[in-house]
Amino acid sequence: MEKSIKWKDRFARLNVPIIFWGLLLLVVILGFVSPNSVKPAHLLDFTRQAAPMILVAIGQTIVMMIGGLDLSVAAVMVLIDVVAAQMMMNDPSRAVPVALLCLCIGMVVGLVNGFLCAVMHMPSFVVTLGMSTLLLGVTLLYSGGSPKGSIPDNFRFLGTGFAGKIPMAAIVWLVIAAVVILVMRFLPIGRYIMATGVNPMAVYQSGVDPVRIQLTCYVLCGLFAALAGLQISAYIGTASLQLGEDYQTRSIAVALLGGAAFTGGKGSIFGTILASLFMVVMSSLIAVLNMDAGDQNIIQGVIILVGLLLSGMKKDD
Amino acid sequence: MNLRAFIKRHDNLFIVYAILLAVAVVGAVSSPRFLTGINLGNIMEQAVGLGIVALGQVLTILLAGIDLSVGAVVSMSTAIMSLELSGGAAGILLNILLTLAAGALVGVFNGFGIVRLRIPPFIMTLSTMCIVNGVALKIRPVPGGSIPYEFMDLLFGRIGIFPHAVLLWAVAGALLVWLLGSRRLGRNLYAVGGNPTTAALSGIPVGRVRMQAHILCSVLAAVGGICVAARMGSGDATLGETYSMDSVTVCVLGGVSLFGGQGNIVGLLASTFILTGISNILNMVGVSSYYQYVFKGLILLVTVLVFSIKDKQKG
Amino acid sequence: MDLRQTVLEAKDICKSFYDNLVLDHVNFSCTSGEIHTLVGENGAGKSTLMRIFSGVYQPTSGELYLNGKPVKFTGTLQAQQAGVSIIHQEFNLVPHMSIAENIFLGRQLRKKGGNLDFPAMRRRTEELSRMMRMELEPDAPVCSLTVAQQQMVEIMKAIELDTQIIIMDEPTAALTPVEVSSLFAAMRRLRDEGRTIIYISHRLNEVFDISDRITVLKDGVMAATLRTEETTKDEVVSLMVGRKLDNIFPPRDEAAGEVRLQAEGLVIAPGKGPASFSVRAGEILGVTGLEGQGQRELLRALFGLHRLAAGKIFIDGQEVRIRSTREAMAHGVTFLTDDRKNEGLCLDLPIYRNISLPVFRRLKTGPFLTVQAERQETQRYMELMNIKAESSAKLVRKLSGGNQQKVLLGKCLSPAPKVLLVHEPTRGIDVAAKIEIYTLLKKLAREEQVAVVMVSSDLMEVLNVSDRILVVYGGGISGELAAADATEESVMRLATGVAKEAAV
Repeated sequence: MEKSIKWKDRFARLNVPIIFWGLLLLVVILGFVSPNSVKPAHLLDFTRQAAPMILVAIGQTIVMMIGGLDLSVAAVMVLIDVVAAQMMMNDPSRAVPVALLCLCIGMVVGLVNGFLCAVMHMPSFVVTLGMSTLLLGVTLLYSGGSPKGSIPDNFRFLGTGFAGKIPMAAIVWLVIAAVVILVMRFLPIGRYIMATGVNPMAVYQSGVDPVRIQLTCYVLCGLFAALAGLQISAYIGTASLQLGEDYQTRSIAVALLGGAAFTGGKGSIFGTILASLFMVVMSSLIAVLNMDAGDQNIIQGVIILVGLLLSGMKKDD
Repeated sequence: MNLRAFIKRHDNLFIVYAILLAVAVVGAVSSPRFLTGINLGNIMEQAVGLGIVALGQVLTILLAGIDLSVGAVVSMSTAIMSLELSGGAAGILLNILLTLAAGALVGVFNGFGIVRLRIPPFIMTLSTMCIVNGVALKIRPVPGGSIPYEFMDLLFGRIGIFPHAVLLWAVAGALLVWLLGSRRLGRNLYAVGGNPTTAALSGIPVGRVRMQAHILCSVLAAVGGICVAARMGSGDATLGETYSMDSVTVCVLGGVSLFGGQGNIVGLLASTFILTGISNILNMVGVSSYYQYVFKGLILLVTVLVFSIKDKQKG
Repeated sequence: MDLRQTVLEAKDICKSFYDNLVLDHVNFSCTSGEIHTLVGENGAGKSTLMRIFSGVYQPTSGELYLNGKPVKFTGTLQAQQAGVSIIHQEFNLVPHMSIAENIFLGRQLRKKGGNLDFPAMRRRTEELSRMMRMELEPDAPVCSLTVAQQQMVEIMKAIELDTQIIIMDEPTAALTPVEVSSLFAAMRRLRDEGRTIIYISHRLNEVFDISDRITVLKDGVMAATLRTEETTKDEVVSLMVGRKLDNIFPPRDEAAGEVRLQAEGLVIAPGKGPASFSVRAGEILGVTGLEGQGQRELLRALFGLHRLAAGKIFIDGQEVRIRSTREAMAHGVTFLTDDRKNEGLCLDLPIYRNISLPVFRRLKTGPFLTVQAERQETQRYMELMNIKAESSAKLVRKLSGGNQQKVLLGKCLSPAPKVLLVHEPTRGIDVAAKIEIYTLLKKLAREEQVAVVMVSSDLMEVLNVSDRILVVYGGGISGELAAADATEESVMRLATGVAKEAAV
């Protein structure tokens, strides 16, 4: 077997995703443009802002690992935000049961997506697009178009609070991400997910039902979308119908930047986290540059494109 | 050909037209005003923009691709159309030319990324969407501007119950039927979507076909945008947002396979009217318009479920 | 005979990929109006040579002459225009387009003004299909055709291109005997028109049936070109393999334990079969038959991959239900598929991940599974099977066919099976790897007392590796032979159903 490896090789074998260098570059540019923005407090704030994106993109990455796609995550996030605000009604004692209910809603949505995609073999793009439209309708009907209610402070602590200097939101995603990375690395399910993405039939011939694995992935994606929705609720404290929009396609862009591919069998939770942070720092940079909405959109499009080209180039080597 | 074989070969079309019929019956039963000439004209008026955009979208989907930037092109088109470039109604001609040129440019950009840089269409057109949305916002940061009344009348005046723009839609549709059915480009499009390797080995210029499809798609989106602008009478950089996903929905409902190479545009007529019909009916009955999303989502899911069960039975 | 002119000639063709010399000064020529077969072990360079003829690859050195003139093909299109077309094993057809459109793909006939001339294309397609003695509806989509019909469409496409030389790469692999004979009839007609067919096949019976001349390639070198009537199968085989058969197959010995697996009245589809048989521990049961007679389904049913209409399966005397791969593996059954790329392996995962895939549960410490545990497990199999790779972390895609097959076998062995089902265990791999796999199967049976069921269409393999041979016909067992008594003829009589009917 392999002998001990020099630290230099070890560093090379860590295989630092290219998005890491992109993130570093953005932070450096930000430092030049606005030295204030790279003070520790600000940098820590990035980890707070990135929380919903990280959570939802982890789910998206998991679904993309099996070659699927989930366009309904944004709709789930909005629905969860509205449900949480309207049902918690600023009552601290309701926080926990309502949050659990929200997670269940996310998983049920994921289960339906998974059933249609994995069991009925429908294309995930259409299924989750239909689900997205459906959920939007449900959310609007449930809230009557103008959602009410608010989130009690004990729950808001998860979005706005601090433990020492560290934002609670960062701790939430760090803990969840650590669990997911460990599961992907050290539990059989992680291996099964990757193998299913590469070749479901080979998994079946190893005595494991790939449909069950695929279902699990969609349920997890729904769960993570719900977590992201709750995280947003905790941060803004009210219900809003607009917040989720950005996440529908952007979570897919983040997963791709982090190393996933539409063909499945690829993807890295760590890369996805870095890509989420990349997106947040990019928005912040754009904000600092005092650009109007038009320029912001243009720059974002260009940066996604460039990032993708760069990470794609690395894959070809 | 006997009738049964004919139905079997085109069963997707029969399903979508059956749904349209059902929607029409529900409409007629639930409101006496539904089948009036004025209302049918209104539905057509609403459907034209989406219908034309979907005609473009179908080209990219036949290639097993997708174009998420059509919505942004619609937005940008309304923005360009609402600029007052030169006085008089004839000045609008300049706006139209600019809009079409901008659309073509977007198509070239998409095509370049997909063909040359080999970026998957989904993510390429997603980036384009961001960029084009940005351009639209630069042109028209807040909704406003105006479209000459004469031009609005030109497109949306009516002959009988038909808005003039329906003619534009019909011409675009007919051109596309001809293009897809009896021109080399059209047949090559199906071949590339069905099996790109084979197409390349048979000497079909795969890259050029993709490029042409994307240019045509974006130009049609711009034409759709011109119609939307003429109906609204002003420019709005967020007006087009829903058109990307809606046009994909129209294609899928119309029986076009997302895996490429299968389907035709005959079904799009029905699926466009299904989508616009639903909101019209809800509006009429006075039920919350929010139900339209629920119905849209359900119809999409159920129809595709039926398609997939049917395909499974076939083989 | 000698009036025929040489149409395609290859002189001193060499082709290397990186440092790997795949073709070494190959000389080859074929004349008009002949069917010229190219045989050789996998990896002998047949497909590389064909790809050079059809313009996919350019030779590293050497010249190609077409009708006496030197040519350089830079692409398949150019080769086609010059008159060489190739029909691959995987068809190049667009499934949802009509036959006529597939034939004229990329070269559609047009009317004045550029509109496509569908009536003309339809007429020409009808003409072509009459020429091939087929009844094909020009408007039918290609995906509605049988494999044999699709093959005909490919041939019609080549004729429409008016190519002088048609290369066919194992065209009979998926055809029934009836379809093979009608394909051969079509090929003979094309030959009699003066066209040249270069035919690649592994099936020596067919090769001797159809060819005018046979060229044998071995390890990238042209071993010989022989006239079919002047040679024998034995000569061709020894030229291909370069060694005597005795050195390929393990020596015969006898051993058999208790009945391990028993199948009673298996019906693979209503109206077929039934089939009953048993395998003993330590025994290798060879199962063969003509393509499509149900041996594939019987084997897959034992692993839960095919739903049986009826039948009972016993393992160690206990009746078991096998409706999924999971249940099969729970009863100690593992399966080696004949389609390693699509069904067997995760090509984009490392070796260790493939071999450990079925045994994650066993390799866990507590709930955790470490890479170390996977790699340790894999190391055993890499040594046992002599898998050549610098590390177990190498992606399976980057291995040679033989090594991939060994990884797949390792995946079947890691769960320590009681019953091992293997389907075409040595398809598409070189002789050295074949020998290793045969030795390993024998060792597993004799030393580990595994019951091995081997379905194979390679008669040499079936005759020389099995202890007992079953022949399948119409989903049932048409006969059982002790390996020592079996001959190619006795197996073929059973396989074609002749012997059975005679017995009745």
